[in-house]
Amino acid sequence: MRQFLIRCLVLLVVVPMPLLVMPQVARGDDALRVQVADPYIDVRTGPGRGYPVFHVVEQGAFVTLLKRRTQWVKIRTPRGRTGWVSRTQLARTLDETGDYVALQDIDRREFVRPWGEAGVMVGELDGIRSVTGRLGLAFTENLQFDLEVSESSSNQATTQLLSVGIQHHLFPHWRISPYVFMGGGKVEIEPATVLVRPETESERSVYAGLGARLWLTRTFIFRSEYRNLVVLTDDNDNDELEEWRAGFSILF
Amino acid sequence: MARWIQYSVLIGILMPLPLWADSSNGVSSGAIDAGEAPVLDPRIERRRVKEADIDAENMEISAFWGVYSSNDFGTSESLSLRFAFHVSEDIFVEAAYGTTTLDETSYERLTPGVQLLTSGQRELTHYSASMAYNLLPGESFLGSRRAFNNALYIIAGAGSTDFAGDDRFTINFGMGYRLLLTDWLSARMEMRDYIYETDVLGQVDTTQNLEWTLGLGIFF
Repeated sequence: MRQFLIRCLVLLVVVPMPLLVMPQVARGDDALRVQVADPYIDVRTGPGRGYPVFHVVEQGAFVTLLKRRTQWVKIRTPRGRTGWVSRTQLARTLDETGDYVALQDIDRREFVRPWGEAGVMVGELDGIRSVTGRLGLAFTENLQFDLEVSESSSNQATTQLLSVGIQHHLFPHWRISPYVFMGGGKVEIEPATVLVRPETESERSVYAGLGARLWLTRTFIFRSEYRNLVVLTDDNDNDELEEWRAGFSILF
Repeated sequence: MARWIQYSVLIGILMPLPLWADSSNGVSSGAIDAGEAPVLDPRIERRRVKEADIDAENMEISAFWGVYSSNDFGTSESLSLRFAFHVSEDIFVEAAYGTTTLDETSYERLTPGVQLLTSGQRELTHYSASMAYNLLPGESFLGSRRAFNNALYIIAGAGSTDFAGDDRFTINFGMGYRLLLTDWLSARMEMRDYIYETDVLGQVDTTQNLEWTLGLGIFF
């Protein structure tokens, strides 16, 4: 049954995708056109330096920009051929106003305020390896609201943490940007099934920590952080846990 | 009056020409090349081109079918759904979710009536986040007229595997091949090793679980 449901889900997701993609491919009325300013530009068969150059477009010719993938842009030449041009070569083309095409500068000041983040991290929670998935919503240059789910499993138990928090970037314009964060959430500890009569414990927790993010590209960052987590138990003393982790995030 | 008619006829002929030249993909003499100044300069609004105006296709969603060979529980059919983000021409990151139903151990087969796991515990699901490097980008040739873009990539990551009622921290690594059938449609074949510790059979063992998958992906 579960297998069947998953199959249905996969079909539902994948089958309508071409329909979503097709209109974008077919669109062409409000085409973006630029004029080659360099002596010529290389046109490759694919978006990467490993794909062969099969065509060149000479100075003065207009090319239509179709789409971009990573640092490459797909173009249509005046003779109707399509191929891929690198972002650096595209930067030396003119648009209809006669100016160079406005490519976003790889300057952190331009993109230092993404509105969202999605990422994964791997680390160690109290000596046990943990995996974390996180979503972030930046509402100022310095402050970001976080939602994260972590799981760490050992042979004795599986610990799941759901937490919400806030992080503050002290110097958001730095390439390596340090930050502090704090938050709270729920902890669920489920003992392994090999143990007799497992009973899931559910507790609340609060945490605080510090970390640093490193910009790798305009939309991709590396993050490393440490946090101290206090599990508020019903017993007299609370549990204190430490977690080290590192991971990657995509910004949008 | 004659002049006016002359002009009208001339405009009537010239106006549709660029459209015709465009639709014939430049197969015509090429005299009306987009690069040359048009005969008639219509009043068009000059447009500023910004990078953000170009439609970006850096994400890839794909569905995979394959076989999962578990360390102790036989080989079974598997399904997975993956979502990739292409960071650069070399690197992509991918989140994956997969499922399979484990088979019986050889002990269960040889000893009738023995069941180590219930059918619910045999449902294995795993998720992971991985990073991949496109090792060999290039073209592959089908016959003498057709060439497809492709890349061989290596991939590694971490995640969790859930079966027999417990979650296990899992690391994975492998190698795959991506063939781009069109710019937005990819066919992939991958071999991955999932490594995790399990104590289902009494003692803690590090197990190697291999999965071979075949999938179709869409860039958007």
